[in-house]
Amino acid sequence: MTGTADRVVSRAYLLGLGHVNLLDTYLSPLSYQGGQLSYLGERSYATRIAGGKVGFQSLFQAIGCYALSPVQNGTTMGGFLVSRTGLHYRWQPSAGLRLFAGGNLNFTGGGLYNLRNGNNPAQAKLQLDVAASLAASWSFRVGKQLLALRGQVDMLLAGLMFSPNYGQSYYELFSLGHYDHNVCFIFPGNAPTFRQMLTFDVPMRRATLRLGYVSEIEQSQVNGLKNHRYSHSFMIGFVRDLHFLSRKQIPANQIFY
Amino acid sequence: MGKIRFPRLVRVLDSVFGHSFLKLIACLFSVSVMVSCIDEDNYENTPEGNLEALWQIIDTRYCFLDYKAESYGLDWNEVKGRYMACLTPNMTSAQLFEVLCNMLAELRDGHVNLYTAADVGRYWSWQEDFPANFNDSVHRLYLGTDYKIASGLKYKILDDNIGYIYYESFSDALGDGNLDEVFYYLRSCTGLILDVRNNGGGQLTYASMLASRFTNEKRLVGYIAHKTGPGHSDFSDPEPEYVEPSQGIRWQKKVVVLTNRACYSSTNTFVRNVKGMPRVTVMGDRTGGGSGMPYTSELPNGWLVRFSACPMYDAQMQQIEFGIEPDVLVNMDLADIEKNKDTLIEQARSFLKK
Repeated sequence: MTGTADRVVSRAYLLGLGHVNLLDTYLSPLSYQGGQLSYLGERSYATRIAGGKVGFQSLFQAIGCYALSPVQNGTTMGGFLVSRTGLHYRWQPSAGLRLFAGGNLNFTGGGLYNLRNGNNPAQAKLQLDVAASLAASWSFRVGKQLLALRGQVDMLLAGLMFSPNYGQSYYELFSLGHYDHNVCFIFPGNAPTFRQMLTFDVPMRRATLRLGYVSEIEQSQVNGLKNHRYSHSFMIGFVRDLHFLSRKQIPANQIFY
Repeated sequence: MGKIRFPRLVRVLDSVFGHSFLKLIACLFSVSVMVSCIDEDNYENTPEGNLEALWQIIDTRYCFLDYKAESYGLDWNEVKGRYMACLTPNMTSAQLFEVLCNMLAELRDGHVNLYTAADVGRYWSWQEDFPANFNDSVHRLYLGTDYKIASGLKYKILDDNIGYIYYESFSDALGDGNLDEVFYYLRSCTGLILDVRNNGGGQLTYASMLASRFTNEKRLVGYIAHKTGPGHSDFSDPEPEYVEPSQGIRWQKKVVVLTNRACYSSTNTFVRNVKGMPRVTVMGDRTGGGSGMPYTSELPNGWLVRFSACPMYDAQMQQIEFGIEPDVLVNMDLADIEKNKDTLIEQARSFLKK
C-alpha cells in the first residue's frame, strides 16, 4: 500500500505473562525474581517512502512486575511504560520471506520500589534511546490457512538515562536540588540492551490470533550502579487490519452522515 | 508465499528452516544470548558468605570509614579478618547474628543496624553510656493535661508566660499550618523553650521547616555530600545547605532549644541548623550525633542492614557524626528530680527571663 487514502494499518493488542529477574544495586545487591504482567500494543503500516518499502511501527508497553529476594523475605515492585517508534526498510528475497532493517526511538519511564528499604526505597527509570532494529517475517500456508511468523530484535545504540550518583540520595536530588551526573550517556558498552519479539499469527474469522514471546534484556552500569531487568513473557492477543478507503471508493449509502 | 500441506509439513519446515527463516531468527536471537550480563557478585548464604557480603556493603557504601579511621583508628580490613576468625561452619543463626553485630559495632554508629525477624542489632552507646537528662514523670508534670497538640508538637504556656513546645519525633508529620497555629498561640509569651530531648530523628524536611521559623535571613547551616564510588574517599564535592526564612509566622524573641544525648539523626541536623541563630540558645547536653543519612541493603540470608551513606557537616565543614556541643551545658540535678523539677527546663526559664 503506497497511499494514505487506501493504506492498511495493522493494530495488535497483546497481554503477556512471564518471568522477570531484577537487579538494582542502588536498592539491593541481590537479584530479585518474580512475575511480570504486560500489555503490548502495536501499530504498523507501510509509508509512502521508497515506494512503500518503508514501514512505520509503533509499540507501546505497560509493564508491571512483582519480585522476591532469594530468600523471599524482600519484595520489589516495578512499573514501566515503554514507547517505541521506528521505521523499517523491507526486502523480499523470496516468496513469503521478508527481511526488515531499521531503527527506533524508545522512551522508558517508570521505576522500582523496594518495600523494605528506608531512605533508598525506590529507583526511578527514565530513558531515551535509539536502537537498531532487525526483523524477519515469513508467511506460509497450512491447508487454507495463511500463517505468519515474525521475529524482531532491537539493540540499543545510544541514549540518555537518569540515574542518581553512586550513593546520592533522592533527598539531595529533589528536596535540595543537588545534581551530580544524573543524566548519563548510554551505549552498548555500559548498557547492552536487547528487546526481542517472536510472534505467530493465525487468521480467525474477524481478527487474527497472535501468539508471541517477548524477551527484554535491559541492563546498565552507570555511576557505579548496576541494574538489569531480564524478562521473558508469553503473549496472546489479536491483530486487526484496518483498511482505510477514500470517500470515492465507498458507496454513498454506506456513509451515515 | 510458500504453500505447505500437512503430510509434508515436517519435511518442508525442515528444508525451509534449514536455509532461511529460522536460521535468521536463531541468528538474531543468539546475538542477545551472547551479550555479557551486568550482574552483582553473589555471595553464598553461609556464615562466611554473609559476613563477606556485610563487610563488602560497609566497605563500599558506608560514608565514615576514613573519618573513623582518623578519629579512633578504625581499620576496616583488620576488622574483617578478626571477625571471620569467629565463624564456624555449624554455627547457629543467633551466633552469626552476634558476630555480625559485634563487627558492625566497630563502626560506633547509631545509624548502623542489623535487622532479623528475631532481633535488631544496634549500637546505642552514644546515648546509653551518658546521663538521660530527661525524666518522663517530671516532664509529664510540666505538660500537665491541658497542653495542646498540633500534629507532632505538644505545646502550652507555662505559668511564668514562657512558651513551651515538646517535639518528640521528627517522624511525626509537621506542616506550615501547624507551625503558624502554634506560634500564633504563643505570640504573647516572653520567650520560648523548644524541647527536642529524646527526639531520635525522622524527616530532614521537618528539621528544615522548623528551623526556618527562627531566622529572618537565608543562612548557611552546613554541607552535604554523597559517595561517588566504592572507595573510602570517593565523595562528591560537598554542597551547601541553607535554611531560608519561613513565609509563615517567624519567632522573633529568645528561644532555648533543650537537648540531650538522645537527640539523634534529623534532630542532630535540626540543632545544627539552629545553633548560631541570633536569638537561639542550645542548652542541655551534647547531642547524640548521627550525621550520615542511612540507607538500607541486605545479606544473602535476607537480613537487612542499615548504614550511614550520605555525610552531613556543619557550616564550618566539621563532622557532627558524634554530636553537637550545646551553647550552655546543663545536666539534670538528681535533687531537682526529687523535687519534681526538671533542671533543664528551669534553667531555660531563668535564662529567658534575664
